[in-house]
Amino acid sequence: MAGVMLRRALGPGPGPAARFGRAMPWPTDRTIAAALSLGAAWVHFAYLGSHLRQWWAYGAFFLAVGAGQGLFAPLMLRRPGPWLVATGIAGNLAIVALYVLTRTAGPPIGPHAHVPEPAGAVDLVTTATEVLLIGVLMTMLGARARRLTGDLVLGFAVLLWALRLTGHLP
Amino acid sequence: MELKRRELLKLGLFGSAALMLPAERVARTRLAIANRIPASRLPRPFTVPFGVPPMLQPVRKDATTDYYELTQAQASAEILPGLRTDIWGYNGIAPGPTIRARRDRPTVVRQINRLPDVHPTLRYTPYTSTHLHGSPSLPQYDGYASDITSPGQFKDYRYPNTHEASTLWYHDHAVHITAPNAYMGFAAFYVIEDELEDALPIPHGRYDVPVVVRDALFTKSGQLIFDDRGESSLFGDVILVNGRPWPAMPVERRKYRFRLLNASVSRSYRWALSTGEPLTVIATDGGLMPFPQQTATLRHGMAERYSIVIDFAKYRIGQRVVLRNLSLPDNVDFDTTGVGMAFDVVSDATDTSDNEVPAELNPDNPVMQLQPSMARRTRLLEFERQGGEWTVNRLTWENVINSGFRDVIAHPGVGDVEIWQLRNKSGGWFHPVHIHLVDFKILDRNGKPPFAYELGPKDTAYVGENETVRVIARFGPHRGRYMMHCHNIVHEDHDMMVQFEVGADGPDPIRTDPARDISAEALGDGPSPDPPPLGDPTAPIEIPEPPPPSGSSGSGSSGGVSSGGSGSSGSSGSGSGSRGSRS
Repeated sequence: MAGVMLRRALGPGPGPAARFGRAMPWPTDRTIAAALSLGAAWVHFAYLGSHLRQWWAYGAFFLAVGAGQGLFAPLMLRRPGPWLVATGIAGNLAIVALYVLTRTAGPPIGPHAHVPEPAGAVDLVTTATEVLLIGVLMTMLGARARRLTGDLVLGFAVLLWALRLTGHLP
Repeated sequence: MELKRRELLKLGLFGSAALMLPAERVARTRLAIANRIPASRLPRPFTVPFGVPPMLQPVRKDATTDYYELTQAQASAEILPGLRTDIWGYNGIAPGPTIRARRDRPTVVRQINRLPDVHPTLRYTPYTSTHLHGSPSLPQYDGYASDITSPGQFKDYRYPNTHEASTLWYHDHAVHITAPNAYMGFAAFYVIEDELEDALPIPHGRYDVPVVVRDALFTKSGQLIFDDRGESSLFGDVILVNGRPWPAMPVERRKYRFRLLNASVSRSYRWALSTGEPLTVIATDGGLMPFPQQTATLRHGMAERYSIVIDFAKYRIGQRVVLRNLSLPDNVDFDTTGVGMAFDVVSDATDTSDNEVPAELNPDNPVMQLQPSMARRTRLLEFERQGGEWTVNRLTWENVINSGFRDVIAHPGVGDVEIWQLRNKSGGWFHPVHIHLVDFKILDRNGKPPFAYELGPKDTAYVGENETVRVIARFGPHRGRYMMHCHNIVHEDHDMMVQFEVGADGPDPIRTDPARDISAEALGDGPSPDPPPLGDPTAPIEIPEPPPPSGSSGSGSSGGVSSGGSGSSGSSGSGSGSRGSRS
């Protein structure tokens, strides 16, 4: 039942067949999404080594994120679909939220648990890339899914700001 | 590809949280630096009177032990005239109160963490760990970095005070936040006195003066700025002596002993008198030197203590003598950091007792009797920066944490004598290296003899640029795991710290006697019952005797080179020669 509802929600909006059809040429939005995801993946791979030295789990996390974002790009170009878009949005939302957590309250676990890391230019640019990617992916969804996703994004935003303004996020 | 206005707003709100919240902390620091108080608004040197930290009185005594209580608290202090500064201090003052202990009379020091929930600008939770620097404490009372006391908790630290007369100090050592914690003010003297030192005719009483030096940066409104320059070092433009900027001290025409402690986060000093007269060094980190030494300049790294004697009898009344800082490589200097304090000669001596520096001080100091031929093995410890991390033999404290606190870089047996080579291959950094538990003798620097003023027992060695320093120590009297690290505490936090284990089966530094919660009521608005009284019979003091010689080989070096084999540690007796063993 839930799956059916989700499928309906994710279901294509106007011009559905054309949006995710195999024969469709690579449109600009998917190319941009792939490029943004590749860029974010590259940064995660570039910093994998230093994080691995800090803690194996940090390294594993960077490997997983880099691999996920790296794999997302060709899939977006070759085998696009509503589930892929939804996964991309959810994954990047989670990554961005975790990033905010590590730069404000500190990583929840690990050797630097609860000690906030300073934000740097590279990681801020990467986060901006991921936020942009979420925006680009939103445009690929059907009307109902866009509404749901918009509400989800708003929910994350309100939650983060509320935590900060109430002092729960230092 | 088009987003509706409502969607853009939602995404924009999310983006603002994603970027602005992380950048907020960095921006605060940058703004604070931009808002740094200009040199023109700093007090002119030597216009602020000198002061010394107050003495802490025990809350009670019994037949064997003195009991002290300290509250770690935030307070507002006037450091720069006319401005208020938020500080953290033991009992709310920085530097904290001085504890004076008698040798072989144990103390219990209760540390109560009543700090706010978060640091005022860096927004971290201020847990603490208190290290009595220079004390051969049991592992669970050594301020092990990960043995933390959170706000609303307290811990009773038990000190044996078996060490020779010496200038120790207590300071914060909390994992990954030592630098900002200490920078807020957590440092204070802990002086051990004994009969040998009492009997010497060196300056005592009011002529024996503690002097703790540190640097700091301030905003225009007087708040401290913590800028560690990308996790490398922190350099301030204000030199604080006993918490006061460039003070002037009135002195009589006689000898004074100054116990110099460098409590800076990253700055080292090269001291010299403006008159060109030499400084007479009588004690190092671990107490009196065998013989006094004279030096024109004194290289002073973080955490090192040198007792110097200055004889003001040779100056006329009205003369000002300035303690200058000639600086050292790889410090960031300002126009204001070239001087520390001044001495104004105001009168003839009102008391001429204990006004000498004898030719011999403590010639039998057991640490200074150690010889390379006594060493069971030699280890090499390399301090370097790798991939943005500060490492020791390519290891960090994170490795220790990730191993469940099992990984050790060396495993000497109890009573073993070892030579440790401390190597800094970089020309861009210096590392004052502190080895917990033991005192050591510096054998040489790059194969050459140590400086004359280093010819005393040490626990911290200045390892300068491209230097290899060989030190020799007897490991004991306690078993267990102890830290060794760079005392540039920004380096220590990120993460130039490892541990070694003496013998086997020592007390666990974290689990043996962890911090306890103050009762819930004490944290709220209700009645404020303090922690159980010190000396609670349910918490007896147990200062165990040094363990008997171990039969363990102690050969488990990781990353070290061994030239002494891996023989038994048992033949060296009861650990004599290590701290606290001389009676």
